[in-house]
Amino acid sequence: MSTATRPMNDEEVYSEMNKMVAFIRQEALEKAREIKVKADEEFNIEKAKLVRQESINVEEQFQRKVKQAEVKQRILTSTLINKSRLQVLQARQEMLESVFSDAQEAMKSVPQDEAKYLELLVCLCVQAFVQLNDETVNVRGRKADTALIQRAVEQAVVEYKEKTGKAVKATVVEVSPLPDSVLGGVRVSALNDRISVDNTLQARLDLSSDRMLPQLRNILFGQSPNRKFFN
Amino acid sequence: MTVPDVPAAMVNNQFFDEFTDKVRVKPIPWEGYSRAGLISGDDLRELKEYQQAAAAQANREGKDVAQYMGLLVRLTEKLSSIDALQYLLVQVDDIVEGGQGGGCGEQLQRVMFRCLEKKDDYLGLKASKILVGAISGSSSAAEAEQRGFAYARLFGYLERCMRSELTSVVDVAVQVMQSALRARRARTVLFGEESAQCLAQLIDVLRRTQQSLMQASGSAPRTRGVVAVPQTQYEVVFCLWLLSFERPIAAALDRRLDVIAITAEIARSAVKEKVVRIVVALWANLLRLAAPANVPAMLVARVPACLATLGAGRSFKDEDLRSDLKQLAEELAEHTGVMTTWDEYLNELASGKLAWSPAHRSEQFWKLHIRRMDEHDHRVVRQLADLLTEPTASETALAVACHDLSQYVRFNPDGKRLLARIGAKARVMALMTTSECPDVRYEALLCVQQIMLNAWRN
Repeated sequence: MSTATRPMNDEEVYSEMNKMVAFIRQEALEKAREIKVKADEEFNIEKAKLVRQESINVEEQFQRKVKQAEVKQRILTSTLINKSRLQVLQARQEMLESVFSDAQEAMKSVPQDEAKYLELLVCLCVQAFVQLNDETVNVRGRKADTALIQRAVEQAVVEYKEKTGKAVKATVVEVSPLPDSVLGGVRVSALNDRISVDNTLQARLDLSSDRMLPQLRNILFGQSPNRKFFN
Repeated sequence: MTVPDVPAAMVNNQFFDEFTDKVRVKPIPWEGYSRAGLISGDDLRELKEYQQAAAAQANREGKDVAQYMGLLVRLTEKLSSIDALQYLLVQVDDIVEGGQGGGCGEQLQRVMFRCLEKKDDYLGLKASKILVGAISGSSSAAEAEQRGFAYARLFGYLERCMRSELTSVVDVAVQVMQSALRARRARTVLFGEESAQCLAQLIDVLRRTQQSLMQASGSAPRTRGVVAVPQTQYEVVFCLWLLSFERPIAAALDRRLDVIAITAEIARSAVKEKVVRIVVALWANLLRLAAPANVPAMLVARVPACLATLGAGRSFKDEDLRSDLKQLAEELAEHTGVMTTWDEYLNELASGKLAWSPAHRSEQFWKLHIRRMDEHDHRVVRQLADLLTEPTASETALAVACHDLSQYVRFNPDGKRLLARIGAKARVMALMTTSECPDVRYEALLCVQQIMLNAWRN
């Protein structure tokens, strides 16, 4: 066995070189693979983070939109409710007014029944005298009723005397009669026309329209569903 | 000269490559098959066309390649002669490596899995390489395919290979695993129940490399199934490194397989830089993703000392390695902080590897810390008792655990009742009679003695 190795010929040199090249290549590929793996993992982490971030954002936006839509919806419902309430109120008002105007029409026929009308006038006068509680009163009425009022006043004075024991001097004033719009009845005044009791039919109609509103409501529309106390 | 990209499935084994070259030039009787009716006349004609085209020019068009691939797969399905199959697989592998394989279709999978069943080693390994090459990759289509891929089956085959006597078969199998584990789903499957055997086999390969190192270098014949030891170590630790990228795996890996201890040994004795590099990378991952689970084990295996020697002794050429070393050393130092003997004891207990240390023997240690053993609902005592029942505990660990329990009872007489309650007393008595190791029996006997002493007092 020779102690010194002979110098390598070309083929051997090439083969050695190729072996070294292959070795270096392999090492490089392995390191490259490690780097690639690390890069892939970082990419995955980063991607997951971004996805999570964005999905949170999208979720928030969605919630916000939902809330906005809810608010809009609620506003809409309340507006509609209000509107419908107003409509109901308006309809009721119209109905009420039609009732009043019907009543007024019916009122016009009251003075036509003379006997009854006379009775009524007497009662009205008595009531007025009682209210005024004065010795001297003036009685006014419609021009058309003058004759009737005269008779009624005479009877009323008598009745007044019976009921209260007081005497009253009632004068029918013809110079300033009440307009026809009062529909009938009398207006009695005392103390130089400074105090008066308006017992005209129109006035009484107005009074009762006002006073009877609760009963009217009950008759026309029934009790309110929310009502709790009835005494 | 263009820089080549890292191939998806990289296998570098001399035996394997030489075999491939031989197969490439082996003549296959295609006409014979055609006459026998195994392949159709059209197939034969197409094959001849491609072969001539390949001989004439190096590059092929994309569409042609896809068609050629389809042809090859069809032929693989039809034929069953080993020679022909080997040739076909070599051609398929060339295409897949060239990156034009077009993903892993169902037909390809089916055909390759069939090849795994055949008795020929080369055929099976080549088929597994093709499968991994086709399925790996980071495009989104690949991910969907990965979900449906039968990794468990592949790992079952590779496990069989790793048991083989032939060193090159083991080597190629490990290299195929390296490439397979690039896919995230593969890692979860490997760590799952189905492929637990495969993983255990992988670690076994690693252990064998250490054993072969222990034997006198050069004189003893190579241990079964180990190629060049550093290369195999690198490959297996690379697989572990890939596995450790998944958080749940990083937390459970050491518990199951004791990787930190083995890798510490390897790092201490490794000559090649890349082995150290990959081991340090593995530790960095374990620490980064699952510190509480792994710090105790690292401390018990004396990893910080190892890192210090590595950092001081050798100057490494690789920048990543240097920075990893520094970072790892700093992080471990942070975690350990100021460690008292008691903390060290807790660490040992957490890692499950009790060993005889002066602390265990000294009475002062026990007297000082006896109260602490009762903290948190007697957590330490319970841990010791659990260790006694764990099937994988080593004999030293059992002996030390018995000894510790006896010291506990000695300095805390009430402990007797606790031990009886949690069943440790029964276990110690069982160990006293049935254990094989004399040390364990001795320590268990002492422990029972302590329990019985003054038993009438309570």
